[in-house]
Amino acid sequence: MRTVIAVLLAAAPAVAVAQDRVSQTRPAAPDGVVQIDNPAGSIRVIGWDRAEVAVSGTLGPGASGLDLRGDRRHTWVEVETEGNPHGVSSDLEVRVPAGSDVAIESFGASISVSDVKGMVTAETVNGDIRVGEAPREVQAESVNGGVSVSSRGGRVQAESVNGPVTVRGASGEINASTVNGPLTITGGTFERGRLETVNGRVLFEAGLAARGSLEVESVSGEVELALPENTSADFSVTTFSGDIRNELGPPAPATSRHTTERELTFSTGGGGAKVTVETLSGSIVLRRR
Amino acid sequence: MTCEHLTERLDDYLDGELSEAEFQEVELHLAGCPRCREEERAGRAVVAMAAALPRQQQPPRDLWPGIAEEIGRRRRFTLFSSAASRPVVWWAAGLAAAAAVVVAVWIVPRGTAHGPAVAGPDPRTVVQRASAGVALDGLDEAEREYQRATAELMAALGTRRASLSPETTASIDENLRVIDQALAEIRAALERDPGSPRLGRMLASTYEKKIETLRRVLKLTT
Repeated sequence: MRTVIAVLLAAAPAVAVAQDRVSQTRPAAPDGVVQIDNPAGSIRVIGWDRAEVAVSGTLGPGASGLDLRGDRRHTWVEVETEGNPHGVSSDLEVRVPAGSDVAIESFGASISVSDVKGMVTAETVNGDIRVGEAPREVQAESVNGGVSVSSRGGRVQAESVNGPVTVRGASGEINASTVNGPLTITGGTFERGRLETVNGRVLFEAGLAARGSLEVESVSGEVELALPENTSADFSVTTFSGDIRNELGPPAPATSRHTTERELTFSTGGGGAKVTVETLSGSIVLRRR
Repeated sequence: MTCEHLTERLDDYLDGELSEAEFQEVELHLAGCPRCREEERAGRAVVAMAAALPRQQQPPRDLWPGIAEEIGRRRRFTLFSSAASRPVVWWAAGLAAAAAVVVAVWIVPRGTAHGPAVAGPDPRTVVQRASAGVALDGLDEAEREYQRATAELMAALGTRRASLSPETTASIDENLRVIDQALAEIRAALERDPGSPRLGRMLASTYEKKIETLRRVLKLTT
């Protein structure tokens, strides 16, 4: 009986931790780096005007504690776990100085970031990533979830294997890819873009800078480019077995009688920007926005 | 400017090291020469592949000079080949060089690669010999390098499967299946059009997506 009681007492702290709410704060520079690691659950990061990092939320079963450490320039926020961390689901809200660079890593957490002006890096396997307006640079990568970025400018790299990638309102430079999910880019004017998919549908509904470039590659997913009326660009469009529907210029002739390959080169508005689209079997649609 | 002159300047052009006048000359030639345009795009693809390699997993410093030298050697060799063979050899060897870099950078330590084989192309069956000569020979070499990298990563993933949920493993397998299907379709297209640099680049970038997918899962499950 004493053994049973001892075991129960030994287990008690872990149970208490599993049910704990956490609330910790530490000072941080207005433009420092904050790294967050939470195996699963949710991570919500919000930029604020205080020079401190504040973490609140609930640690799930299997979590042994929250580690908030670092110096003013670099802060770490980590959920500590016992055993296999992938099933340890904790929900965290992390408030960071708005000018921080934020790096988030997880296995199964959904991630949202808003009002952060520094660089945002977010990676997860199972979970969605949402990044709101303001970051000067975004790198968001999910394996089995969607990636959604709303950004006014700077550089965006957004990738998902299985989920949709959606970028709204961005401009500047974009690099986005999926394997099986749709890729949708709408909004601003881009200096440079590279969009890749294996099997997803690509929609680019945005503008191109005067000497900008846009490269799109798809194996079997459809590609649709909707560009502003006044776009000045040189187009090079190729598909090996898909169709090309071109509302911006001439129709696509077959390259050879012996293949189904179609290649189309033309310019609009005197040219300038460079647009390259290549697919294997995905159809290509070029139209006015 | 002739094609040979362009070939001599292509490296500097891609590296942005030409004077304004030389740059304009190259641009003018490219605008009117489809073959050189193909070579330029193939060059850009190789440069982009090297540039896209992950910052976090750069190879050890003592390894990188050898790889860089190898790329340089292959590029110089192919760039100064005869004009007749230039386009095909350039992109095929370029792919092989890029694949070698990918393997060197991405491959996981052998100590972690003892798990059971999992879904993916069987290197013994995917690489099919074709009668298309130099292009497919070069492509096969590149493809073998990619397959070596993916086989190592797949084996490493096999050791982690027990810690993943069935839903996660099902999703990963489904996407690897989609990529393998795409690789098979591109390979079939290459059998019909073995000299196509576009198809070669597409094959390489699709292999890279497979490697990147595996790398990301492995990194986040460690």
